[in-house]
Order: sequence, then C-alpha cells, then structure tokens
Amino acid sequence: MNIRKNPYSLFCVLLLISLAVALIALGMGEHWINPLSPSSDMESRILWELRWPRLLTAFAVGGMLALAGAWFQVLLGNPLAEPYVLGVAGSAAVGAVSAMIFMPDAAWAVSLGAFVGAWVGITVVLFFSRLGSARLLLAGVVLAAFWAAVLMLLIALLPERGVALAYAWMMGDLSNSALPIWLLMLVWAAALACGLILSLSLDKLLLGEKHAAALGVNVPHLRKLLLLLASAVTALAVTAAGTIGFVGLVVPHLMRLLLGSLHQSVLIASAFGGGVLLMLADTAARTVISPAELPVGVLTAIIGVPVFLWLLLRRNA
Amino acid sequence: MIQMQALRVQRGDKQLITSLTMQAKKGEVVVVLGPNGAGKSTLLLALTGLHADYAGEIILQDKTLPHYSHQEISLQVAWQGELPPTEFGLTVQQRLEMACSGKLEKLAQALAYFELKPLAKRALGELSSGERQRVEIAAIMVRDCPIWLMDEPTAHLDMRHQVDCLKLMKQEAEQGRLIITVLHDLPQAAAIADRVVVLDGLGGVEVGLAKDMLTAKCLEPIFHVKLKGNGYDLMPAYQKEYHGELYEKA
Amino acid sequence: MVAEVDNSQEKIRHCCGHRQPASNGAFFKKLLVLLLCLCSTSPAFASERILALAPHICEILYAIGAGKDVVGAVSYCDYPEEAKSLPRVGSYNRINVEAALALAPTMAIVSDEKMIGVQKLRSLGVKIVQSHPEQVDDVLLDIRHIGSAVGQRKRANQLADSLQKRLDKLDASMENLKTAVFYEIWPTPLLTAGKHTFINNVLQRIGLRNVFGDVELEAPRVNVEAVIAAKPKIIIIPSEKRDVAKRIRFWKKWLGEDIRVISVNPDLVHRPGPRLLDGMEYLAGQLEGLQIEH
Repeated sequence: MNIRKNPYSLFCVLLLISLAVALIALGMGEHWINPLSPSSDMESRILWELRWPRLLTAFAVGGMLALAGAWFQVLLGNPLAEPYVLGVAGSAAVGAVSAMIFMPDAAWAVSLGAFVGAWVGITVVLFFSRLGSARLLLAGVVLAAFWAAVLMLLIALLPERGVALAYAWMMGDLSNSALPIWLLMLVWAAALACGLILSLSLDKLLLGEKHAAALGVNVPHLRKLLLLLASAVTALAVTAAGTIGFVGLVVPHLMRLLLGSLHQSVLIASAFGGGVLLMLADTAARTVISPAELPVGVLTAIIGVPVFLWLLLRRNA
Repeated sequence: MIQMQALRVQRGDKQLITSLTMQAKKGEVVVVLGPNGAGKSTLLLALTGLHADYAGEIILQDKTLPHYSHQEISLQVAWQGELPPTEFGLTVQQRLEMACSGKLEKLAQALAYFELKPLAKRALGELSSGERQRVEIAAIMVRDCPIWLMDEPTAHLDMRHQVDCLKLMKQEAEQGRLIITVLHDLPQAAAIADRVVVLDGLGGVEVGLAKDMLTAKCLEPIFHVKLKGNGYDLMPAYQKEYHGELYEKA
Repeated sequence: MVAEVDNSQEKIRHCCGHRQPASNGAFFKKLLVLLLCLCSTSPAFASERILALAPHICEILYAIGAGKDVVGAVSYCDYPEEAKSLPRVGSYNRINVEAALALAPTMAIVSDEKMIGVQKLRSLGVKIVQSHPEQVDDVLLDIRHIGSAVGQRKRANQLADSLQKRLDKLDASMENLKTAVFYEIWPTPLLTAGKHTFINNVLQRIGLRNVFGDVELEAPRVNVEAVIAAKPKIIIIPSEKRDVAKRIRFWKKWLGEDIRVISVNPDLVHRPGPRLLDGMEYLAGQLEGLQIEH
C-alpha cells in the first residue's frame, strides 16, 4: 500500500513510529530504565511521573509547532515561514519577562504572562491580516524586531540573576509545562483535525490567492481562520514550553520533500514528525551532558539551522 | 449568460471602466483588447467575483454576483490567469487534480491534448513558462464550467501550442461555452472573436462585433500605433525605413 | 548664607560633572568666591565621593562607615535601609556615565571593570577599584582592600577580623561532614550552582558537598531525575520568587519524608558582602538540627 496516497495507513505507520521512539526515549535518562519492567517503585515513578509527561509534552508541542509552521507557510505563501515569524514568540517572551519583573514572587505568573503576551502579539498581527501575504510577512518581521527590542529593554531592567532566568525561559523547557498534558494532547489532536478538514482548501491556496478563490475557496475567510488557528496553537506551545525554534520550519519542509505538497499527508506527517523530532531533541537535551541539561530550544536551532541551509541549497540546485 | 449593466470598475483611485453594458451569450468568444494597465485583467477578475471594487451590476445567469457564494461562482466560471507560484513543489498532476474535482477522465483528456503526459509527475517549478502555461490551459479545460475567463491564454506558448489553444477555444465555444478572453495579438483576436470589447485605458469602453471593431480606424486611436490591413490581416505597419521609430505613431 | 553656598556647591559639581568649559567671566568670578568659601568651611572636601556599583560593595561601604561618602549606587543596592534612597546610575551590567558624572564622583568601586561605562569613567579621572569575590575568603580580603581605598582602613580591618573570627569558629564547629546538598537556584527550569561558583564555595565552607559541584558550568540546568540519582540529604532553597511550601512538598514527594529542606534569604548567601557570615551561620545552625536527627 502506498502510504503517500492513503492517509489512514500513513497515520497508523506514523503512530507506530512515534510509539516506538517514545518507548526508547522513555528508557533513556540519567540511567537506562527498561520501560516494560522497571526494577523498583522509584524507577517506575521516574518513568511515569517524570519522563512520560515530559515526552508527551515534547510530542504535543513539537507537533503543534510543526502544524503551525505548515499553516504559516501556506498562509504567507512562503515555504520558509515558521510559527514565530509574525512575532508571536517575541511578544510571548515580552509577556513572560514582564511577569518576572512585575510579579517576581509568583512562578505561575510567567506562564500567564507568556500566554497573554502571545495573544497581544496575535491581536496586533490580526490587525494587519488584511494586508497581502508579502506585506503581512514584512509586518511580521518588523513586529518581531519590535518585540525583540522591548524584550531587550525589559531584560536591561532585570537583576543579574533574573537575566539568567529570562534566558532560560527563552531557550525552551519541556520539564515544567504550565498547561496540563491532556490539554496539550487535545490541542494537538484538534489542530490536526482542523488541518485535515481544511486540507483541500489549503492545497488550493498553494496556487496563490486568486487561483484558490477561482476554485471556490473563500480566501479572506480562510486566511483569517488560518492566522487565528496557527497563532493560537503557537501561543499554547510557547506557553507550555517557551520558545523552541526551527521545529516549525524544518519539519513541514522535510515532510513536503518526502511526501509531496498535498496537505492531507503533509499535515499528518508534520503533526507526528514534529512530535518525534522534539522527543528526540529533548531526550538528547536530557542525556548528552548529564547530569546537566542542554536547553532544548537551543539544541533544535543548532540541529535545525544546518538542515535548513542544506534544504535551501538543494532547492536551488 | 453573463450580463454587465452600467458596470464601473476602479482599482484604487483609478477609474478603469466608466460604464460598460453588454450581454454575452453561450457559444460566443468575446475578446477584450486594450493597452497595458487599461483594466482588462481587472474586468475578468470582477466577472469571477474576485475584484469587488465595482459599481453597477454583474448578472450571472439570473442573479447578480453578490448573491452567489464563492463555491457557486466556481461552478459557473473558470478563470485562467497568472502562472501559480512554484515554491511548494506541486506537480502537474496535483495541480490539475485540484481543478478537476474528481473528473479524472477529463484530466487524462487535457493531459493528452496539451502533450503533458510525460510531464505529469514533474514539479511545476521544473517546467518552462510555456509548459506551465499549457498546464494552466489544461486546468481550465478540466474545470468544465460553462464560462471561461482567460487572461492572455497564448502568452509564453510556442506557435504550435498557440494554434492548439485558439483551436480549443473556438471548439469549446461552438459546443456552447462562453469564452471571454484578453488577447494582445490582433490576428489571434481576429481568428476567434465573435465580439470585441475595447478598453482605452482612460475609462472609455467600446463593444461591437469583431468585424466592426477589428479595424485600423477603431484601434489606432486606442493603441497609438499605425495599423494596416483588415480583419485577419490587421497588423501594425512596421516601417523599417522610418527613421528611429519602429512603429509609426498614429 | 550657608544655604546659598550649598546650593552653589551643587552647581559646581554639576558643571564639573558635565565637563562644560566655563566660558563666561561672571561665572568665573562666582566660582572663585565659591572656592574660597569651600576651602574655609568644608573638611569633607578631603574625603572621596564614591559610586558603589554592585549591591555587595554598597553593603561593605556602609558596614565600614564609609556610607556617608557614597553618592550613587546601582539597581538592587537595597541594604542597608539608607542605601535605598541613593541616586541610581545604572544596573548590574552598565552604568549611565552622564548620570554618574553628575554626582561628581572621585571613585567608583565596581564588581567588573568590563562593565559598560567604567572605562569611560576612568578616562575622565575617576578612580576605579574592583571587587569581585569569587570565594568566601575573598570577601574578607576585599573588605580590607576597599577599606584602605576609601580611607577607612581601621574599621574595615575590624570588620574583617570579626568576620574572620566567626568564620574560624564555623570552620571549627563544622566537622567535615560532606553531607550531600542540592542547591535549588531556580525551580522552573531547575537550575543549580556549578563548580566555579561563589555558592559552591559557601556550601563547602559549611561542610556540605554540592551534588553538582563538579559540573563545569555556572548555573547548570538539571532535571529532577538527576537530583534523585545524586541522592542529596539536604535541599537548600533561596526564599525568593517561589512558593517555598510547595517546593518542600515537591522534594518530599521525590526524596522521601526524611529529606531536609532549608530555605534561606538569598541576599545572605549569594551576595559576597558583610552579611555573608549571617547566612552561613544560619545554614550551619539549621544543619546542627540535622545532626541530631541522624
């Protein structure tokens, strides 16, 4: 059976791969624990209370970022767009760091700040949504630069110890999701479902807005919906895990290379592929320099940038 | 089939068409002529429901355009225009499948007509502009809508495919389709036009039968080019001996 | 009359601060008169006007009786109480040279000479003294060093001597327990103190073994699993920006009810200043309880 053509078999194959990767990643950590037969009560607690929630968070966040990335790429007609391209990560970081400054004694305030910040960013972007793709992208780049500047301003106001924390948040962390795991998994599933429902319209949008409209797509509607959906998913991902770069850029791109550009398969593959990639990256982050950890967002960028440049060269060839 | 009543089209501050009233029936080929920027493409987009900046009425079958949903218009009207972007690596087959809404026999027929079968699995970005243009014409074929709006269908095509394309348009009109097309080549227009709409770029519009409109007298003031001949032979008067200028100013 | 002089004094300082060339004659005359007044009245003229450019430096200066000479500070110089009302000229990594000069300083004590603006100050004739204690012993050395730099050698030595005595007593009383400790700098993400940190040295001096004391990073990120594997007997939590009760519940859940969790005011242990011994003695006191338990 050709899994490129059949979404059900693609879904099943990817689900199996994800479970296999999750099982191996579950065993890895400070020391190897056989996930199928932990030898002590503490080992099974480490497996199911520490590693498993973290893996699920990584899976859901990775999948959400990859889906949002795929959406932003169609929306902006630019295969090199990513979820943070319109400055949502920047505004979320501004929110998080503001919370560190103005409500320094409440740990939960950071997540709330990130969420509120992300939505402020989205609202600003929505205001520009009637611009065409190229100008929307430009507006996004400028907004991202603006948020980066505000962020620098806020960081200058933080005490020395606070700066380390602000950077720690910005580099992404999957161990302490402020959002419950079930919610993240639900968002992952809902995002994939929405994507699949829209997939035919999304395909048509690949032909450009005029062609899509001529093929019966309500383009202004779809654009708004897509912008809202992609931004909301990005906001939740950022709230759960801080900013984790390049998953949203590289994964959909890679899936297009492997499976072609039709969205049914690209979206299914991105939702799982992003999840698997982030599970692997986070497992590496946990284990490479153990007992210390690497920040996962930095790791994905370090892997992501060369992959991205390689893709870019290949496209040119 | 499609009716325009006191249609006034603008783009931004610019009045493209001040008042156009005409009716186009099935089986007709209507050619839209005019200088660059006169609003030919915009007129086609307005008829597709993609350019909302107009006053007056566009009546499709029995209802005005705003009474149709995007989906309903797309069943009536097929539009061919700019070449779609190639960044996302769509293949010829995929591009045509999006247009054919499941009618695969139509798709095979179109691939055959434009000799696209060997290219079917290739990505659009790997094709030449001429090949991509053939895909676009094939795409409008598979749409199977009663009205075809074609914006410079022969652009990028080599001579043989230009002829194929014009033949196709004529045939399809004879089988009952309405085709409204923008062309720049006067002999091509003369070859297929039943009626001609001329936009002068200043808001003025003239509509008439092809044989009345495709004359030097009618077109010279619009294009500011000296024309010679008539009907099928109508063409710019190239005057090589004329100093400095390739065309004689009208 | 006196009020007027004071006011004019301010003006001079202001002008000096901006290094404006005095260009008109009337101004010169005024200046001359004022200088005469100054010479005749002010013994404070001899002492320094000091910028304290880090919180621990500010604390040291006040503790050795040089507080009256401090004219400016940076953000987070919050102890003692008087320091809170000092004009601010920068934060932890940069100073505003113009704001600093407006205070007409003669000396700036910095924790890092590479701090933005410090070289500018030096080139404009302000004496630069550096104090960046990396170990507990350095704190005492720096107190003496700063004392001699600001003309309070005697009181600085007294302070350092008394701190040394307390430190010796602490060293003697703490057997080298090497009890394993985890220091929770931050809970989310979980950050701790690595090898080359002041905190690591503080922990060593009170006979504890930082379980991540061999990690070659300043503030390594670790995970709960790594902490469990390292089997600490004690968790130390700086009581800032977190719900300490919740953290205690958290660690008891993972390390068992026997785990000893101590919360401490971070300014007493992170800040290499005169209150350091208060913090160390507090921690040591908490540990005595622990020895009884075992």
